[in-house]
Amino acid sequence: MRSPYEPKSGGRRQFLQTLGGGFGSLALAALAAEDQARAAQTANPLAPKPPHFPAKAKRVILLWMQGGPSQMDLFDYKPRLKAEAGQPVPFALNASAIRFDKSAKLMPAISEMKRMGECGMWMSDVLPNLGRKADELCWLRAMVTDSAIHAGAIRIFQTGSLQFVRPSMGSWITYGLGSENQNLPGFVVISPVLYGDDGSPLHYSNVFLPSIYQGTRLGDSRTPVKKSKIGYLEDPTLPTALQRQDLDLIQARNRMDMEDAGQDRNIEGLIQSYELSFRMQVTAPDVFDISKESQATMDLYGVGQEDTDNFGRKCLMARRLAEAGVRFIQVTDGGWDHHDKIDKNLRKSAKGIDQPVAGLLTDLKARGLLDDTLVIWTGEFGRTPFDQTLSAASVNNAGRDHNPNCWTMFMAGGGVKPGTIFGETDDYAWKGVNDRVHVHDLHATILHLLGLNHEKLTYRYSGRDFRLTDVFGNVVKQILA
Amino acid sequence: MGASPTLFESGCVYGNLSPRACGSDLRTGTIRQDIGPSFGHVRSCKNWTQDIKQKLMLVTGSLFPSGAVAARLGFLFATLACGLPGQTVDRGAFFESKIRPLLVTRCGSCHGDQVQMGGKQLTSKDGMHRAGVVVAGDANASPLVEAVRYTGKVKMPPTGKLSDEEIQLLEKWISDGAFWPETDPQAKTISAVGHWAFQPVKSPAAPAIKDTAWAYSDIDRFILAKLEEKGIKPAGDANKYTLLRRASLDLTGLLPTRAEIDAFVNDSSPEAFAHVVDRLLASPAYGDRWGRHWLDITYYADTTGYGRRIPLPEAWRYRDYVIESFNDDKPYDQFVKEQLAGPQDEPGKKKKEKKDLSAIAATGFLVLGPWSWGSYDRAQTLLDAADLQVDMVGRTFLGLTLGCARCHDHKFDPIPNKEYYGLIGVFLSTKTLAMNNFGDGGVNMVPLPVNTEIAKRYAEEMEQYDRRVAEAEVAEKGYAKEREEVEKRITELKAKAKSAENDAELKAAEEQLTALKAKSEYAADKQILEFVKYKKPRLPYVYAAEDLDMPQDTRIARRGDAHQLGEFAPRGFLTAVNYGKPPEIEPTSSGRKELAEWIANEKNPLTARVYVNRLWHHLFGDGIVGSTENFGARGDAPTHPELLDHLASRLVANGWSTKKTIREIVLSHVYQLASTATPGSLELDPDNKLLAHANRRRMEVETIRDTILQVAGNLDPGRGGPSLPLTEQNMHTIAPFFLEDDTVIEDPIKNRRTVYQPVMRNSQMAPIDILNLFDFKDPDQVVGTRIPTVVPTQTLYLLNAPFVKDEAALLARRLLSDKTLDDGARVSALMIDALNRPATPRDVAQAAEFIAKTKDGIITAKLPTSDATQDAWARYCHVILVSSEFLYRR
Repeated sequence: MRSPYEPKSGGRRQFLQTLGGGFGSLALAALAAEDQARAAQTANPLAPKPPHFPAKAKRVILLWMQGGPSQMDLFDYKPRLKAEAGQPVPFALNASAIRFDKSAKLMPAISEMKRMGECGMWMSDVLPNLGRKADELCWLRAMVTDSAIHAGAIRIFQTGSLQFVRPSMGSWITYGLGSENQNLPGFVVISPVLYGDDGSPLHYSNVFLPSIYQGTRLGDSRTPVKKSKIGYLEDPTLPTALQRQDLDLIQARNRMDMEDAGQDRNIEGLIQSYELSFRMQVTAPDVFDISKESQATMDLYGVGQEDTDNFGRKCLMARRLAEAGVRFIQVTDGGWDHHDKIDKNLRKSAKGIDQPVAGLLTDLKARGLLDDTLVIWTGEFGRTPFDQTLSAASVNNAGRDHNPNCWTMFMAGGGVKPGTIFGETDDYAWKGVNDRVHVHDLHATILHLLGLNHEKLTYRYSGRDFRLTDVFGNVVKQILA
Repeated sequence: MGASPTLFESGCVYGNLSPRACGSDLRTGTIRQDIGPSFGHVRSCKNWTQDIKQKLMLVTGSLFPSGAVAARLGFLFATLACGLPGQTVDRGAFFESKIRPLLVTRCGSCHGDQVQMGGKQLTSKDGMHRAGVVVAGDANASPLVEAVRYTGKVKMPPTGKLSDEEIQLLEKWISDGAFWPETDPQAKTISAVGHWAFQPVKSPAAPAIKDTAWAYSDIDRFILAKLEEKGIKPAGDANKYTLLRRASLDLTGLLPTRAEIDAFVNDSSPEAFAHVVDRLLASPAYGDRWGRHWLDITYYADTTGYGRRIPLPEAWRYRDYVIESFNDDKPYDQFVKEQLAGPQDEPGKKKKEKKDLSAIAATGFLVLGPWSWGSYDRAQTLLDAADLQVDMVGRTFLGLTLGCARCHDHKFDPIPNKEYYGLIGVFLSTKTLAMNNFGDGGVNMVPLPVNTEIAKRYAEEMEQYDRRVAEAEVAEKGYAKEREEVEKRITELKAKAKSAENDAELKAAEEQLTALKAKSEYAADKQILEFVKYKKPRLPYVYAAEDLDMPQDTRIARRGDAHQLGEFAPRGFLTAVNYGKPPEIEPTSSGRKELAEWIANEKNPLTARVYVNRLWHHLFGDGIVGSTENFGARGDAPTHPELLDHLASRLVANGWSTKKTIREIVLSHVYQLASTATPGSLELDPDNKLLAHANRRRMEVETIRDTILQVAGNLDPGRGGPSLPLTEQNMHTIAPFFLEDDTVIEDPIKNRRTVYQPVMRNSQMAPIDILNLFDFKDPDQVVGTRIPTVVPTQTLYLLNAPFVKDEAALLARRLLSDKTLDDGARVSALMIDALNRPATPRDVAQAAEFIAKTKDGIITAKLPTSDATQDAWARYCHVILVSSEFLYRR
């Protein structure tokens, strides 16, 4: 688009050509990128990049159940918990577990569990819709992490590092693969927990990776997604044409500035950034707007029903973003930290996500998106097989504490083997005993599913090459399709 | 496993670990309260050490099966051949001419006489023998060769591979039997060899230059000599408008006023610019800007660092101390000493007489940080805080990444693990955390002296406080009592027989109950009583460090784990920074006082260099040493080493005066150049490292915000004092007390300069959200160099944020309210105010076209507007405020 405020002679292209040298050609490359999405990777860090090797998954939807869903109440059936309910803990709680009360008692699952599907995965009847999907999911039952507190466990899951500030997984993946839509951010985070001890913008931050790879946030966990907006994305007071008019003058003045004061890569960057902002401003509101979906689709996700409306909307939004080519989408559901009243509260949490997640899987499949979308459902750790009575002695108030030694998660879609149950825990779901998968291994596997070698996806910063998996990580080959 | 690290442990799986790749970004000790020794990085170190040891065992075992291998501490040593008679002459000459110089120059700074990293010394026969890295006669089996070839996991030297020729020399030497003569003629010369930054500061003579007329001062001679060497011609001079704008932004962070522009442009005297510089340096705004630069290399924030925003309502005292120190041009050595050790004794004055308020706040430098007293593991919390303090002291004053030596000897700089713990001992002997949960987040508080005026005010405040508590109690309890009565009445009424009268009375009572419930719930919800109690008046306090009663040495914490203690490390300083006998630590002192003397010493080779480099960095956009916090082996080499020394010696000669040093730099010719590169110069020097022209750079976020407010006529000149908005709405007042996430800045502060806004550790408050987007400094890190990013979230902010729109509207209103101006004159006024230059005809024409079109657009689109002209002008002002010419400094 030619701005009416351009110098009359020549045009933008001609002006840039006359500059000559590396700078002018860089700018020209940027112009070409506007015309041809795949061109000029050097100029456009969001342009799609080929993976290291061919792979099925092209994008990720991470359904992030922050707080730590209870494995033995939802998926990891342990008859001995029922048989020995109320008895003292039969295994040693080691020194690192001093936080546990010595008087803790074994506690059975809150609800009935049944084997589901051909694969025979045990599942609680509080997840009826997901239960019907058991054969489409790939189960990891012996996940393990390094921290028993939220802050650490969330950080290592989101960034690969317990104690250091490192780029988030979404930033790494967007850096590795670019994005398929140049009018949208490549990494979107829906309703993250932002504040308090367990929330931080660092969980979706680019840190030292180029800042184009940082997660763009929609809302936060305390605001209903219906009321959430991406910051500064739109100016409701002006029609697009008038906004474009403003932008034309801004860009014309930026170019005048360069013409006057000489070459400057930063001002080139500013000009590009303004263009991308404007395109986002025009495109993004539509993508986030679920009101154009059919009633049937809304119903599928549980939109409009009290318990499922909020998470249903988030999942539906995630599908729209996936469809639009966003590389990494994280959807957060907080409140899985069931220290007390687990009988009541876990049911509530489960109900809130059961239909929406099942609906998302059905919808992705129906649209042919599930094949190349990797859906991941997990929290940051599991919970203890014994109770933690915080407020009262009544069983109704009992809950469970954090357990980094094992938890259950599942993946679906792009490149994972459906109906696989991988990993075993001991008789109490206290520790993994077979096929344990550490968070680093999960990261290596996710990157592998996207066609990225976790040892080769590096970024040189401050004199050394960094990786999402640091010096760890083994791809879990057994679950690959 | 032996207690002390070995050569192989002191290598790293990455071979070339970055400055503080492992610990720098340790956010806070409290985060790792549960992880104990499972440092990922260390685990990996250990694994490959095992590998190498096995390899070594195989190799040495096969070569020296008959006991030439010595085993000690479970560790195997290779041996050195002594050389056979008859070969001595040739081998000796070869060794002295080729090998010894190579070992001394390429290995000696870390494995030499002075420093033996990993306990290895490679510059003496005995040392080489004990190091066990050479298998005489078999180069391929020698760990030394593997290390220099960079084929194994240990890569030495870490600063860069040796040349092929050098590697071949070492291989040949070892293959020939690794001969080492009995006498070491050069053994004592090693200490002179080493990294540049540890050498004494010289006062070099300015070099000869061809174009002598170009140079205004020696600074220019150093600059021009390099340019002439490269055949680059410097750019022409910046015009007066540009120069004034540049100097005003650099020195004060604000734009020049119309009057200032007029005065400078019309002053044709040779001292015109010097007058400007003196005016700017004398303005309080200078301290606002340069104080903020200093705060960037501290952990200053107005909250503690533990998830929740626990307010530190006195933190502003340290901020103000820093700002006023710059405005007072406090000598830098004194500034350093005060921040480490508190108020300094003035000669002839007794300690008690001179405790002035501002210098007591100085050790806020040490006590404000990403920590708080809320952890499960107290020993670890204290150690982690001390680590962050040592690391900050290293980066901020010395340009050294000391924190790298927390778990092992520093990989690249001659800083042994034991010396690191010598410094940790200093800070563990210092009280910065109060070690209890009372007070403000457990940060150590020291009372300020109380005079009668303060005592009187305190008494009055206490009186008011008691009254407020009583009121709040009435509100909370009163409602409850009333409620009880009404509830009782309702029960009675319900029990009575039904009648119209009763029903009406019941209904009225129920309504009353609802109202009461609402009122009492409101009181409880808002925690009014708790808030009143939280705000209990107290005598003035300051966050400051104090020596513990029993200062003592600490023990090495293996892998930084406070529960795995090794040998004692005597408190002391760095042997690598060797400029004379270091001060002895008095038995009653933590060692801070002595550390401060040792750092703020004109002979310390790092202190002055690091500081003048920071000043240069802020004025030119790049330091002479690009890595402003790392002057070690992995840092950048200085582009102009002699200039750096010149500036450092000038700083000392000027009595450590910051203002004088800045003045000398700003009055140089090189500072006053235009930003347009001369033809061809960018091909020869693409990054403009030689400064042939001025660097253009985006203004810091504080300056963007401050100048937008300034141009809109909306900048509040208020300075100093508390800024945390501790209001009922903002505070969570049930312990632990913290600021709510949607905290709003109070009106009296809101339009002050950004440096006076509260600084949070997690993310900045909504009204100053711009700080979250434009690369504001992370308060938990020492950041001497902010890296400006350009991303769409920033440009979206510039296009749509209410802050920019509101200020643009104010600006438009101001321009339009002057009825003496026509539209052309309005554009001129805007250009002068915002861009500090006269309007061009193009500006005027462009503005007219845009405003007319926008006005039409607003009317055509039937946008709600009370004044389309005002709105169109606001859009135009907005465009000017978000275009590159405004956002970038030339």
